[in-house]
Amino acid sequence: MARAPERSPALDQVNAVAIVDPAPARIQHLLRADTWLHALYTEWGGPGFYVPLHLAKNDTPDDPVIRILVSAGVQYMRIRALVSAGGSKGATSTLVITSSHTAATTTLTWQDVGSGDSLEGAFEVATSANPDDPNGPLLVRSGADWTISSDDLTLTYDAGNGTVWGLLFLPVHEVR
Amino acid sequence: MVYAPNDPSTIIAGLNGDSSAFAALLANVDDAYVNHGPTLVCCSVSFEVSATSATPVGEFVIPANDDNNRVRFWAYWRGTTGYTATLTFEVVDGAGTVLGSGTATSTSSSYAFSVINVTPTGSGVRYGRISLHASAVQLARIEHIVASVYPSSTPAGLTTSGWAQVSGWDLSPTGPIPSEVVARLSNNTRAVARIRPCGLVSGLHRYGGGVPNYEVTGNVYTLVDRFYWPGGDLDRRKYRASIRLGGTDPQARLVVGPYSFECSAAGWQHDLPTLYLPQGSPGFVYCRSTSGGTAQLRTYQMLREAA
Repeated sequence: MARAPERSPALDQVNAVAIVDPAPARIQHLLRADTWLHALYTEWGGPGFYVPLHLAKNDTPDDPVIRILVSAGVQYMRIRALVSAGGSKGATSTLVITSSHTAATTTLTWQDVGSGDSLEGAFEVATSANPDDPNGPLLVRSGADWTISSDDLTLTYDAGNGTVWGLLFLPVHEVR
Repeated sequence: MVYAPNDPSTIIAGLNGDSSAFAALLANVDDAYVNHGPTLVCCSVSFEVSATSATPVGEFVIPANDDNNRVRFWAYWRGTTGYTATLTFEVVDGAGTVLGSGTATSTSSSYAFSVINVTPTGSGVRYGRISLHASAVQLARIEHIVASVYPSSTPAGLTTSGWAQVSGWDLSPTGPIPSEVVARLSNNTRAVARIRPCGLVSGLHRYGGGVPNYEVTGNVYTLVDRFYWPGGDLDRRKYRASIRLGGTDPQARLVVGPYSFECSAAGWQHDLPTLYLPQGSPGFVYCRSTSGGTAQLRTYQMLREAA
């Protein structure tokens, strides 16, 4: 039977469990332990993180590499990018993110909307929910291994004229 | 043993237990000690030094870690071909006393990742300090850093956090279940969650050029960074906001959702708010010098904080 990820409880906020003999230990206590553990290994324990970049097109080094930690059981990362664009309104910028583990890519594309190439004028673009889309969540691990891993992502920002201010990585905790 | 989730139909209150599911639960609880190491810091930042003595370029906060597990620090960096560049990572206390350190070297102008593992001493909030130097006045440069806390193996005996190994204990599906076992199973997971807080947002100011630039001149607040909140918690909970300031009369303000943290004075400043922050909430970071000089926001971090 497939098991859904657990998003609660907040394990670092709960009170310690105190069971004093002769109170009987019951299976429901084990069920709680099992549920808490699954929460640690899935959604609650792997909430994601934001990575500041401030990356302009053709910065040095060109095509920088960033390392991200991949929580146990996670294969895909949803990505939300904070971007801006300068130049002519309507011009398109493209950021290609490539996983070194899987060689998979996802492509984020945005247009200059006239808000300026600045932090104040930055806006959000995000991956889609469909792994088959060119801009789908990024495959950062092949197979559902329940160990800590990492992936080195190459950021190719060669098309357009703007700035990638940062990337929000949201691990996809699947039912399995 | 690697975590293998129990089938949700195997442990059900009111029904008899299953010995294999019980054994898997015990092994899984132990496994979490070595396989739960959330991101503490992850940011792209340019630290560039051409010096022959170790030059501190950045710091980040390392809360909790009651059991003094190893701190893992990765850097994507380079030296200069023909010379030896040295990257030093130290864990220090609030007074700057070194509680553990390690180094990596590079003799190439090509970027590559190095990892430094440091098992610190001490207790309470500590800091990771990054330094660079080279064997001659040549370039040493970092472009990206990541850090986490997790050990390579489970410890023996009872640890400071209250964690203790449980696999190998007898947990019969038909006999009485010792109270200590069931309490330990839950409390071990709780302990791991408390000593390895997730770093949700982190940014460090550049050193010697590059990005990001969190330096501001003047007494008007300037937006130096923005972020989206990863979040994920379903209810109000405690967080840690830590900011390190430098320069002349520095002041910073961090705003996310309904939360605003303003702090002044050089050095580390901390706040421990209890908040509900929905995933995706926009965050804003501002800096200024109250006397109109030049100030730097050297580090900002938001992490989960145990109650």
